[in-house]
Amino acid sequence: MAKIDGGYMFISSFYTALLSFGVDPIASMGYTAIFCIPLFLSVFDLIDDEDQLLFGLSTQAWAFILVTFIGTSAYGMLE
Amino acid sequence: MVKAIPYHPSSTHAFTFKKSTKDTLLKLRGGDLGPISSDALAKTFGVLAIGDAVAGTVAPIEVWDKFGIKVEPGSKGEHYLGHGIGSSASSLAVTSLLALTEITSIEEAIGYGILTRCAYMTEMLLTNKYKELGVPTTPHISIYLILLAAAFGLVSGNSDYVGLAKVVSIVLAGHGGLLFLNPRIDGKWHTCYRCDLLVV
Repeated sequence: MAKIDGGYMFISSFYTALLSFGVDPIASMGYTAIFCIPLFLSVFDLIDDEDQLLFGLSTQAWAFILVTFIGTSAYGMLE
Repeated sequence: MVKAIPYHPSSTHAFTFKKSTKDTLLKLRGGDLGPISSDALAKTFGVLAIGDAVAGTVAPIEVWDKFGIKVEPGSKGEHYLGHGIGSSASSLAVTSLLALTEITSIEEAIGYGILTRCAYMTEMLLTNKYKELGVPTTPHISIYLILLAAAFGLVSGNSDYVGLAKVVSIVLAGHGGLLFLNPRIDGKWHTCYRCDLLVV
C-alpha cells in the first residue's frame, strides 16, 4: 500500500516539476500519464481474490482497458 | 521552397508550413485523437485525479472495498491509501486544472498545488497524527515550512520561488519514486517507511 502512495506522490510531484521547468501543461500531463500505467497496474496486486470480477470484468480485462486508455490518452497529449 | 503539408487531421487550419524536424527528433510524438483535443484529454486526467482525491479523503475504506481491496480501519494502510493518495491526488488535480484552464498563471497553479498538500500536512500536525505514526517532529515541520514558503511565494506572484518549487518537486518525486520501487517498510527498510510519513 505504501507503493501506491509513493507512486501517486511521484506522478503528482513529477507533473509539478515539469511545469516548474517550463514544459507545456498538456505535454506535462502526457508524460505524467505514462507513469500512471505502472502505478495503476500495481493497484491490482492489492486485490485479495484475483478471480473476483470488478463491475463484471476480470482484473486482466480492467488492466488491458486501463493500459489502452492511458496509453492512447498519453499519445494524444504529447507533441 | 518549403512545401505546405497538413499539420494534423483535426487541425482547424487546412495547411501549414512544414515544420523543422530538429525540434521533434528527441520527443515522443503524438497529437489530438481525432475529434478529442489534447487539451480535453489533459483536463480529463485532472478530473480523474479529483475522484481519487475525494475518495482518498472522504471514504477510503469503503471505496477500496468496492475494488476488492480490504483496508483495516485505523491501520497504516488506511493512511497510505486514504490520506496519502488524497494529498497527492488533490495536489495534482489543483495544479493541473488551474494550469490547463489558465485560470491562474503556471507559477500560481504550482503554488496552489503545493498549498493543497500543505493542508493535509496541517491536519496531521493539528491532530498529532504524525506522532502516532512515529514521525520525528523536526523533519516533519521543516519540510512543512519549506513547502509553505514555496507555496506562498508562488501564490503571491513572486517568480523567484520557481527555483524552490523545482527543488521541492524533484525531492518529492524522487522520494515517491524510491518508495514505489522499494516499498518494503518492515525490518531493515523501516527507515524508509518513517521517511515516507514525513510528507503525505
